[in-house]
Amino acid sequence: MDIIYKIAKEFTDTPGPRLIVEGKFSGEMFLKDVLLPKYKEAIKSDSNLVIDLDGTFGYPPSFLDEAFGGLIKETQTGTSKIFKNLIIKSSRKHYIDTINTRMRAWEELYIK
Amino acid sequence: MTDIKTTDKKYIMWKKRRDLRIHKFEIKKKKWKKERKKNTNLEKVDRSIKFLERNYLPDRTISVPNQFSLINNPETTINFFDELIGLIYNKVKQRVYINMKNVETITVDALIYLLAVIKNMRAEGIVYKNPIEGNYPENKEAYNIFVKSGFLDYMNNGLEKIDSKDVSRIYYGSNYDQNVSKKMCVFAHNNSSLTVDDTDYLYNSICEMMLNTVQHAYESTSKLINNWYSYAECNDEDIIYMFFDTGEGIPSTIERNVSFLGIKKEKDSDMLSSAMNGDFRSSTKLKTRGSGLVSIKNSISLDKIKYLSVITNKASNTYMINENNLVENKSDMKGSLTGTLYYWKIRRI
Repeated sequence: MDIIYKIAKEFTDTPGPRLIVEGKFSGEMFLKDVLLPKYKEAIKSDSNLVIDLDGTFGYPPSFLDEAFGGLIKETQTGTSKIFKNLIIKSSRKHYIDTINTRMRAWEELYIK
Repeated sequence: MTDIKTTDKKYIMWKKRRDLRIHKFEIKKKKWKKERKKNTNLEKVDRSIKFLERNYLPDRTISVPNQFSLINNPETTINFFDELIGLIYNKVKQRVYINMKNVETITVDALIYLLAVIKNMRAEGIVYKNPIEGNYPENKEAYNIFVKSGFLDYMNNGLEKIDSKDVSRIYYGSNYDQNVSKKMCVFAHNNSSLTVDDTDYLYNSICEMMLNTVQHAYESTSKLINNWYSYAECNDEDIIYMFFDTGEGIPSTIERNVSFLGIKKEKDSDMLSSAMNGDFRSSTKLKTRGSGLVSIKNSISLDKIKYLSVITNKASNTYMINENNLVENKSDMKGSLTGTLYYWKIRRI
C-alpha cells in the first residue's frame, strides 16, 4: 500500500528556506524529519512514497533543492532508482520539472 | 584760637592714612556684597538658564524633495538621503528636522527607505544625541499616502491610524519570515480574483529575496543594518509590490565576491542585468542562490508581472513586456542607493 504524504496538511502550507538555521519549515527539516524516514519506510515495505505538493502558497526553489536534492546525497542513490519508490504529485507541473532538474544536478555532484 | 588739627602736619598725614583705610574698607565691602549675591536664588536661576542654553541643540532643517520617490525621481531623492545620513552621522550635536511641508507627490518606497535610516539610527543609539523630528505634507493626496502607508506606526506621534483595504502595512525584519510572503499573496487574493495557485510565483520570489537578505547579512559592509521591508498597495488597475533590502546592493556584492577572478569592473546596470539572468553563480549546487532575481524576471516573461523596476547602487533597470517581447531598460545614476529596491506591478484582474 502506497504511503501518501500531503505537505500542505501534514507539514506546512508555507514552505520555508533551505536550512534549519535560516528559518522554520525548511527544506533541510523536511528532508530529515519527513522525506528520508518515509522513503526508507517505503523501501522496507516495498511500496511507493507519494509526496503531494498541492495546497501550499508556493515552494521556494531553495526548499525543493535542499529537500529533494538532499535525498540523493543522503541515500547515495541515483534518480532512476529513487523514482522507483518515489512519486511526486502536483497540479503545478513546473515544480515537478524543478525537482527533476535539481535531483539530476545533485546526482552529478555527489554520485560518481 | 586756631584749629590745631587742620594745620598740623601730623594731623594731615593721619587724615590721609585714615581716608585710605576707609577707601580700602569700602572696596572690601563691595566685594563681600558680591559674594553674598552668589548664594541667592536669583543667581541660581541665572546659572540654570545658562546650563539649558549650553544644552540647547541647534536645529538643522533638511527639506524633502517635492517629488519624494525613488521610483519616479531617484537622483534627487537619493541626494536627499545622502544629505540626511551625513547630518545624522556627523559628530556635531544637533536636532535634525525633516521638512515635508512642500511635498507634492510621494511614493511609499521613499518612506520605506526613510524608515530604514531612522531604524538604523535608533539601533546605533545616535537618535539620543541627534534627535530627529519632522512635519507632514500639506498636499492632501501626499498626506493621505503618508498616513495610510503605516510609516507612522513606527514613529512617536499622536495621529490616529487609518485602516485601508488598499494598502498592506509596512512589514520588516532581519530574519526569514515566510508568513510575510503569505500576507503579500493574501493581499492579492483579497483585491483581485487571483487564487493561491495564481500567486505562487509571488510567494517564491519574495521568499527568495528575503533569503538573500538573511544570507548576505553577515558578509555585508552596508552602512545600514541589513533588514528587509515589504509592502503592497493597489489602485484601480494594478497591485503594486515593493521589497527593500538594506544590504550592500547587488553590484557591490558581486564585485566583492568575484574580485579574486580579476573580472573587469562593469557598470552597475550591466552587473545587475547579468545577475537577473542568473550569472555569477559559481557551482551547480549554488544555482538556486540568487534565484529570487531570476524567478521574478521569469515571471515577467511568463506575463504574470506587468512591470518590474530594480534600483540598486547606481543601477536603475526596468523590465516590461512590449508586443510579446521582454524589454529591458538599463541606466546608471550619479548617486548610489545603499541596498536594493524591487518594485513591481501585477494586473488587478
